[in-house]
Amino acid sequence: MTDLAIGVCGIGALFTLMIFRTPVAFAMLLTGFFGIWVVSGLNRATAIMFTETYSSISNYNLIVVPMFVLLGNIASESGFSRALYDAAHAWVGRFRGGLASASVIGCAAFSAVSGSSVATAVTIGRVALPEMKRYGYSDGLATGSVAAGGTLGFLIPPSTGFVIYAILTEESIGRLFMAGILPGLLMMSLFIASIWVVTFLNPEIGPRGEAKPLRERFVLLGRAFPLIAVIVMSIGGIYLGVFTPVEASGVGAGLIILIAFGSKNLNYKGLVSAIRDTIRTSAMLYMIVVGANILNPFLAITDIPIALGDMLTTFGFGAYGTLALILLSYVVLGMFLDGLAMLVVTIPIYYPIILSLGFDPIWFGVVAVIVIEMGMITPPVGLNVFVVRGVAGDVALSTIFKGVIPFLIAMIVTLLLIIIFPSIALFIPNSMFG
Amino acid sequence: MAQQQTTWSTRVDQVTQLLAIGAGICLITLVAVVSLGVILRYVIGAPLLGINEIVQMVAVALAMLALPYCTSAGAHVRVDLFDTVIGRWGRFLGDIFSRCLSIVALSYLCRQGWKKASEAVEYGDVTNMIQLPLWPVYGAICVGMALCSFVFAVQILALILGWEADND
Repeated sequence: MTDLAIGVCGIGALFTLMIFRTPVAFAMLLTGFFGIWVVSGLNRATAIMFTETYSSISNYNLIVVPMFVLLGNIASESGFSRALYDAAHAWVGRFRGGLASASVIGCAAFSAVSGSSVATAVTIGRVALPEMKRYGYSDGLATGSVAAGGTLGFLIPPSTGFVIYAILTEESIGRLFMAGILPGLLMMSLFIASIWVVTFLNPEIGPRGEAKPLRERFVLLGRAFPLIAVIVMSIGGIYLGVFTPVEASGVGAGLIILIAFGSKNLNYKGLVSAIRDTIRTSAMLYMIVVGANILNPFLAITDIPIALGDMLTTFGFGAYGTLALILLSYVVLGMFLDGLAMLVVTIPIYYPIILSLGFDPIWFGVVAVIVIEMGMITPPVGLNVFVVRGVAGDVALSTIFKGVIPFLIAMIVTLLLIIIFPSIALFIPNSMFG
Repeated sequence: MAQQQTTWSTRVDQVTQLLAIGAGICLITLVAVVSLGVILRYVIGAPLLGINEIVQMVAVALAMLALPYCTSAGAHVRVDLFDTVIGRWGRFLGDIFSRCLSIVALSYLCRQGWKKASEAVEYGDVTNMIQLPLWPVYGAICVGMALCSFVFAVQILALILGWEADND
């Protein structure tokens, strides 16, 4: 049996393990370890497994994950995330579909402290969904805006997806974070435009909220100020070169803990709960990186990426045709794989192909993250949809899936714009790093 | 049987919770050390020497202490879309088989960690900048993987003895 055939069998084994409920991290670890054992022997497999485990968990850049997750969890526990939504509600709630727009803005703002789509959807959903129900919003628009708004968590920095992509491809986390800002804002704007269009066509599904006096609007904005200040300081600090991403995450987490305790918005119980959630999420993410880094050498030894690249080249579709095939594969994989799993399984295979086609790896990171986000709100997996249903309670899944359709169209438009105008993603990182 | 189940589940939970407390302390230490490094650099103009090495060692401890807790809590990402397709027996066999394989792989990882830790003690391996001993890092990987294997073993026992229906 050739090495390539073993590699193909390994890919088959990886998917079989995942179908039979093996956690994604361990499915990759087992495929990598046993695969290298078959190709190169037990001693080499054990040595590679240990070296990759050590280098993964001691990776200095990966430390941003636990600290940014902690920052998001503290913001949620201390009620600062609610203040963000209340401020957005006060400013845009009086427009048609305004509460849905406020949900999207709240999601975008919370995304700037949370790297997770699910955390963003849950945090804002808990606050926004009862409000929209109170004002008579349709279930589809209410749940759809939160489910779609939550996906911004994976795109707007600090994004867990970008950190994992950076670790796997050895690209700069700072560059990727900066590359996510404009596409994130563009997507947020297109989400709001979608809300405007659907409520223009059918005003009953998103009635206007009450107009709040200017003074009250500023008061509510002031309540959200601590979190906004931490967001500006962390992301702004990275942009201005004051902090590295690791330092921004540490200072941001430290500052939010101090502010939350100082303002009596956080007690000991809340801190413990936030820490417990953070270490559970961090261990899960660390193991995914370990698994992916053990799978990578196996794929490299068996020449899978080269073979796949050669195969795609022989089709003669050209660079953009091949890119379209890759994106199509994400759509298919998104039907049964979680976003993070999709990222770690595919990037080691697709990254060399993307480089050989001459695409910018930072730009591709943004494109990949957006396509993966689309999988989070499309059936049958649609993780964000399930999460929002859990928060909303009595809304049918089909209603939520119908509700996200306008937002899905907005995501496709965002994706096309970024493919046609790569500078949307590359302008900030290029102006910052040259 | 119910008594046994309670005892085992409680003990595993107690151990992993205890490790989680350690991981929480590591997390707060990380935040404190990184923030201190920034403050010292900008306020006093004296960067903290070897901060990267300290942070990396604490991160390893954090990950390895949190891993058994995460495994015990079933917090790892998994694909559950095919659960109904593979049926009750498919789920049962998949759960047992994947944990057995994981124990085998993690045992090798644990053994290699022990070997590396022993060599680091023997040769006095230290970090480059502030000469921190490396054996605790290798040892942490060894212990973390061993404890994770232990949690898997208890979960296998629980599945076979019917303490958990689907381990979800």
